[in-house]
Amino acid sequence: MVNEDILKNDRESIRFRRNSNNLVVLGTGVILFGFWGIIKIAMNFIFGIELFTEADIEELGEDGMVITLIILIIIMAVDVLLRLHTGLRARKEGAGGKVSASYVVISVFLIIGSVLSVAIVIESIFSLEEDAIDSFLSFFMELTSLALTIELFISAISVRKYKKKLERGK
Amino acid sequence: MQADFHYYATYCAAVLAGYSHRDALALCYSDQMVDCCTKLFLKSVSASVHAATSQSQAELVDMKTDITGLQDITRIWASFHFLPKDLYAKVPFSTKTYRSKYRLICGPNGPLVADTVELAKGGSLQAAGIAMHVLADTWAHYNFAGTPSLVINNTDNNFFEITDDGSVRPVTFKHSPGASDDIGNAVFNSTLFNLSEYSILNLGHGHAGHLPDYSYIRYKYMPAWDNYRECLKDNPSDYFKAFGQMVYALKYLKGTVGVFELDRYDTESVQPYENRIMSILTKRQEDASSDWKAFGEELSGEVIPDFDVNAYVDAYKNALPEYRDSTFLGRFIIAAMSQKSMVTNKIYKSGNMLAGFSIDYSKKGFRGIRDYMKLVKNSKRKSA
Repeated sequence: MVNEDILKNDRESIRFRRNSNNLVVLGTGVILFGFWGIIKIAMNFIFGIELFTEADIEELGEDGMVITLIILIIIMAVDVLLRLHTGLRARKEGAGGKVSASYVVISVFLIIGSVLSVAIVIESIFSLEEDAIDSFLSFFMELTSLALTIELFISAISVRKYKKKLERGK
Repeated sequence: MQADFHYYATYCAAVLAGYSHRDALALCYSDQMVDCCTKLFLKSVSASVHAATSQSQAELVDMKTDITGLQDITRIWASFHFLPKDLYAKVPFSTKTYRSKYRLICGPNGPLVADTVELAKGGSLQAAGIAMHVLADTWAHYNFAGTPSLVINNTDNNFFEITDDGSVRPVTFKHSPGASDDIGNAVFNSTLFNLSEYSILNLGHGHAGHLPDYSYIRYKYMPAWDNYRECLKDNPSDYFKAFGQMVYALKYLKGTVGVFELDRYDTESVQPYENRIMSILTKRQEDASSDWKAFGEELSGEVIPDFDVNAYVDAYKNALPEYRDSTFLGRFIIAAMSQKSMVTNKIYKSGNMLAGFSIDYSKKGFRGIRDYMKLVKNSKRKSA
């Protein structure tokens, strides 16, 4: 007969397993949302939707547009890289691997970025600058991304706390 | 469970319950036959495919997982290999779809175990053998359901073997069909993860590989349905209880004891052999057939022939059509249909459609389901 004490079914252990699983799922989600920006731009090109309005083109000029486009690409690349880093590390941590806390720190920046994005989208909804359906879709996407990143951050903190506690107990 | 328990251990249980060598052989043959009576086998003997008690891998791969296909699969696997423990289990904050699947989770000592034994009471030895298969599998397969479902039957990497000294070591799963398990290094074969809820890869204990079927192993893991709780599976202890319950149930079927109650085990007949049985159950091996066979032969003083799936085929095929149901295989087929019909009916009556419709022909008039016409004819014959 095996003693049932071998089972770790206390509340903390159950929460740890749930949060570890969350990290795997949410990590995948963060990576996928990283590509959302690229998909958005790609859709613009595919369906022939102008990236800049005529007013923007007039205001920026040709050189200004190129510079803006380069900045946009750099921001997106950085965003994708940060999300890849965060998502992959979160997945590894969730699967029981050992990773540095860098992804938790980066997730804070991602949360700040997502909050800003949500604010910008809300502003565009009220200013009626863009198509209402586009704005609402963007709003829900950004809000989902924000919720996902916040949950990842909370799960990561909880998992790391539990692991530290276990290490101290050894 | 495998042939070692379903065939040889059942023989031992039957002998301990007081059955003769001949009857014990009929019993254990029928028990093991449950794993072999596929539609393909039934077609080969020109019998009704609706009496199928199992499905081969090839048949499962070929199976459509539409509503009727899923119901067919569920009827077979829930009736014979994953008998539901509690068809009325309460599952708070769940959808009806999830609740229906949850209620098919297999477990020992559920009301359906008593129904299964009662159904075999006064019946053929084949019916008793089938009942023993169903009863024994409730111990081996508990926590898994006999219906394809990812949310119920999935397991993850949180899988550990508990060694003899009480320490734990991680279990590794590989997915190479046909490859054998490396029990020394705790590397086991299991079915591939498939995200589709109703994929046949999510049927029963496929994700846990053969672990539930090995008598020696103790392990802990996380069933998908149990909200991240770890579950302990102590196979030697469970198999020993299964053996004790089989002896008790067989004594009831034989008429030696008057009632069959759940959670009762024959300790009296089994106790003198406890050490011997536990030594077989805890021996680290994939197949304990030779050990059980030696034990059975010691108990009865007779030779136990190896299981031969075709042993009774010729007698069935050569019998005149009106006498086929009286042959060994014919009685097995009737008993199998009877068990399947009973379990399907109980599942349907609980408001669960996963095993399909079931009508009480005695109440509303038989509407001509071809599956069980043979059963109706047989019951008419009995009552005449």
